[in-house]
Amino acid sequence: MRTAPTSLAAAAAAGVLLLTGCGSSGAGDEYGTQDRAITVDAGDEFTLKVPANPALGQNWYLAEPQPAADVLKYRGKREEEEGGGDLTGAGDGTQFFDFTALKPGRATVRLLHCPMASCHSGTESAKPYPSASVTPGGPSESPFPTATGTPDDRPAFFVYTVTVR
Amino acid sequence: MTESSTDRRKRLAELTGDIDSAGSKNDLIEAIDAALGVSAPEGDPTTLEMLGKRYKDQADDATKLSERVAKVAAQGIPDVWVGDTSVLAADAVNAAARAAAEMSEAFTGGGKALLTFSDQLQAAQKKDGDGRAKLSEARGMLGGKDGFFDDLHEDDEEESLRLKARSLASVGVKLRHDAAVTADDAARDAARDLNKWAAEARTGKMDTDELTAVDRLMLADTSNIDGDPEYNEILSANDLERSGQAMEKLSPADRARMEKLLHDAKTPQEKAYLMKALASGYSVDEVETFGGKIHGKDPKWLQEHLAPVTTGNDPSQTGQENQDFDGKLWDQDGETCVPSSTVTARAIVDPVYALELTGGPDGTDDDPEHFRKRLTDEQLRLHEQGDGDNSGWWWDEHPSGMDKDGQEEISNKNLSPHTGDSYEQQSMDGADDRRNVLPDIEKSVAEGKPVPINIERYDEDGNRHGHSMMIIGQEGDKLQIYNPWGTTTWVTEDQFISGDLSAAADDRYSAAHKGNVDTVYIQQG
Repeated sequence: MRTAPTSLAAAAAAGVLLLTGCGSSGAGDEYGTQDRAITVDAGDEFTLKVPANPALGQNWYLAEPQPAADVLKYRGKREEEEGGGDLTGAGDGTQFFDFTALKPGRATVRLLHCPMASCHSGTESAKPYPSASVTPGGPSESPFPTATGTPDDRPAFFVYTVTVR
Repeated sequence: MTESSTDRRKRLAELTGDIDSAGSKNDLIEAIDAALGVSAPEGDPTTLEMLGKRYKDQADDATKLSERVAKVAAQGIPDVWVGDTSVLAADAVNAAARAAAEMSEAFTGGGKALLTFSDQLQAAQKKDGDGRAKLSEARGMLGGKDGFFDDLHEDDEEESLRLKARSLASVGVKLRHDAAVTADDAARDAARDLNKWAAEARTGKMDTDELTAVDRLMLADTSNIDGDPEYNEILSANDLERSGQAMEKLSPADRARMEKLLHDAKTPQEKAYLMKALASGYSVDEVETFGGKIHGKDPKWLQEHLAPVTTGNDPSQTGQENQDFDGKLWDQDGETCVPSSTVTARAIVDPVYALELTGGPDGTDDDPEHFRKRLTDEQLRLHEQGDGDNSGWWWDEHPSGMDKDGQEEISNKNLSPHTGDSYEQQSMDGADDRRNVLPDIEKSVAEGKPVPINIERYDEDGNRHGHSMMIIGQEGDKLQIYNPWGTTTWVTEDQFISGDLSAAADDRYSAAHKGNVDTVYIQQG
């Protein structure tokens, strides 16, 4: 298995507590990419926090279908970036997807991870990888898969199941 | 000192502002004198036109030759082998037909480039003359400079005269600036096209008597099997030249061994890769070892293992194209864009190195996970070699970028031995600098020598982010960029000049984020 992008490795090592829903930003609990099953109380605000190192062209998007609107309210996406100064290729970043739990029930949140600038919106779910080695007219490569592990260098959906008590 | 066409354009743009804002007679006189001091567009349109017409005549001859050879090819040729390295005669005749067609195309393209340049230069010189006449007339209206006390007061009549002269001078300097822009753009376009056509006159690049004309023809004609052959030739113009020179320098015994290797090769692609290894600077012993690893492999295997980049997109197509080995991208692991783009660039010019990465030491380890590990290890080796920065705690220390000197060092240590040139960083202080360096970049990549570039941007908090990429191809007014995110993209010259290469990276490098190409590492031959 390929080494995870550095920002993720660093976050996993140095910020485990921040990523496991213990809360940090004052706007509710934060959950990392390993927390795919989340339970919150109605009325809670919470955040999905994902590694988005701009040096690695990493970006995340809320994908279709969006979570059930009567269970979760999506409040928007935020981003924090660290520059690299005079160095070329250095940097780090994190993106945050903010939600409010409205009423008891279950909702599915799909985030599309786009590493290496491999996709540019949450609606590219059916797009095959463009590749010179794919024979024109022949079978194309798979659409983006659903991730079961940590973010790597290929685009994938991260599917979170959110239970609201 | 001779001004370049870009300097002239820049200077006249500045003087346009000076003339338009001249608030006193003396300021206006100084600005007009400075504008008159800028030299006119250089060049002789008549000579260029004659040369262009001569090229077109040569193109007609080459077209006739191409048609005659194509007729021979169509008649069916028996299966006989020719040349020192055993080339099938039918393949050789087909290659000759394509070479003659390319020659015709090169003469036509070169002739057209010269005629267009001639027309544009003539128009620019005429416009420049008109502008100069208006500036001289305006200067004549003003007479001599005022003395210190005269300059302190300007009456209505003097002001009216100054404004009239300024208006005329403004028209004149704008005409001269327009002429300078036309001449500068025309010169760059002609240089780009002529460099490209010269690089595409491929067969003649391999200047050696040690191979027959048929062998040289076939080597220059061989491409990988996927994508348009024109964008996937195995031997670049530089490879052809360097392999020809290498053949000339070999001892008779080594030359005989090299010829035998070529003779025994099973496909034209295998032959071309043996020559590419020789062009990359390897000894015949090393080429022989490499030859043992690739002998008998089919063209698809050779392409997958020895060509990190396969170009499927036509230059007119936008969008990024993934470059992978059996599903694993040729991309950076961690914050290593500088060493990663250098590793891939070396693999593009050095097939022995490419095979070590894709197939391991013996060339047979095809496991994509093992390729990924070897690629990462090599990226980290270059990161150390260039004294790259690291960050994180002791249990998670990881690469975190490299400075420009480190980048120059790893380019020289890893690319120069295989391309024959050394690299020198040039800071890009805006569009004029990028416009100025473009002909050098285009000449390098047309010859098959990758050019490292750095882009930068600023985020909402004003933090600087830098990223390294590599220019690896050129076609018309398009440049092909390899991004160590594992992709290649065709971008326009205008995108490069503007500094906005977000099409080859992501939206965060767009003009909205002050996207900018800030450094070019250009070869010094």
